[in-house]
Amino acid sequence: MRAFLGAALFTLAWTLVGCGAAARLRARARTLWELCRMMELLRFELARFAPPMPELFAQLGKTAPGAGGEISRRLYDSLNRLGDEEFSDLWERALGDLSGPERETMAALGRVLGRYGAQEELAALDVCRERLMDLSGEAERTAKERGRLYVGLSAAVGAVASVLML
Amino acid sequence: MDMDGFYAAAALLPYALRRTALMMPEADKDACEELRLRRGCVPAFSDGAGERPIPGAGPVTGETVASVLEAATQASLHAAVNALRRGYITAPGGVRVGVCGTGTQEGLRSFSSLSLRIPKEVRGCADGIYPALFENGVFCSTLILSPPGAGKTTLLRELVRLLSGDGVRVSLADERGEVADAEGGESRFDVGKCTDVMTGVAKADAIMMLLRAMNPQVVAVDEVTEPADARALLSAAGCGAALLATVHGADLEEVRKRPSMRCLLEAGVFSRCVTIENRRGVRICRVKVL
Repeated sequence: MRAFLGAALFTLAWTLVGCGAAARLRARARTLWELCRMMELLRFELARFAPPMPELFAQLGKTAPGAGGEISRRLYDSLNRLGDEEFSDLWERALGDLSGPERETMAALGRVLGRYGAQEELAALDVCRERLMDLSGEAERTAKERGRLYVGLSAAVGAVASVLML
Repeated sequence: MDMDGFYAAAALLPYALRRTALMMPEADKDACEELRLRRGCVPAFSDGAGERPIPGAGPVTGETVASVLEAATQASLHAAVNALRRGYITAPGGVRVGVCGTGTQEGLRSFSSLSLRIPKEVRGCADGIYPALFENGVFCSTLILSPPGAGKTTLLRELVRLLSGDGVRVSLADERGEVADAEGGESRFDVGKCTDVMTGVAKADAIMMLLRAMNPQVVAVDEVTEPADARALLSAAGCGAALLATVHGADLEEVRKRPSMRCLLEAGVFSRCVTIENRRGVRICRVKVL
């Protein structure tokens, strides 16, 4: 009885490992969607009202969802160091633990924001948003396709390993 | 020594250049009136005696200019388009950043030179001339004139402070924010307890708004340049308010050649004229009864 219980727990543990991997894929897809949304809001505000950056990011900190809102809030909190540090450095730091191609894409945007006129900023925003949307679409597909695969595979590996151990 | 203005200007410089500027001798920092950044040249500072390179500083690059503008606009160059069209930005601390570059339809681009004008508050600089601006205890409309950089704005600020301190209601049209450096409704410079400051509004509009809204006894305005400014001053004079204005010009004859100023002078709007002479950093003010 104990052996069966152990095997079931072992299988469950493997399944959870697969679920964790699938959740990470979904989280990345969600983060990318939030960044796309942030880009849309940023573009709208810049094109429509062209507010100064502190005002802009104070507002985005309240309106942008999830990761976009967090980045905006971190950036807003650090803007008092402008002059001591370049805007691009503050921006890069505000990206936090964002990684992979999305970090590179966002960092490239930070090198244009705050330093050039509205037209250049909007052009850079468009490039960034398109790239993020591509990444977001890809991440969603990956999350759907590989998510189930990871869960199924890990459950199967757990089950087989349990049987072998029994 | 009041070196807040110098530090406010230095705060806009990139780190390495700022460190070099802050290592300048104290006397030079105190006397410094402007910092000059020209691409490809060594940054310089100017005092009353002329322009000198900042010791130990390397040549100014495009990156240096971009970095200063980023700090001056709080990383919001896009929001400073209108100011850039006029050729300057007022940065935190009342530092006026004059810009030079290539003009396009949208404004200036490819910035080549920057001039960081350091605001100064010199208490007592008007003490010698202040009594001469009154007649029977009433302040006379006064025109302050001098070439650029001689200290018109500093003198205007001090006169506003003195008048306000004497209980005179002064309305200050401070379009560029250089006189009072008002931010968030508070003035960084002391312009007196009876002074109302209108910042960021075109001078002509500000004068009319102040007349309608604030019931001033004296209307003060810095750098009358446009015909619209002169027309607004003429209207203000007809409303019973005394005027205190500054204008670029070496002397009264030179100023009189400008049609807008000629009409003001011929209308007898001003009854006192203060000229400032800069003799290698020493300012000499003279009052003339018109």
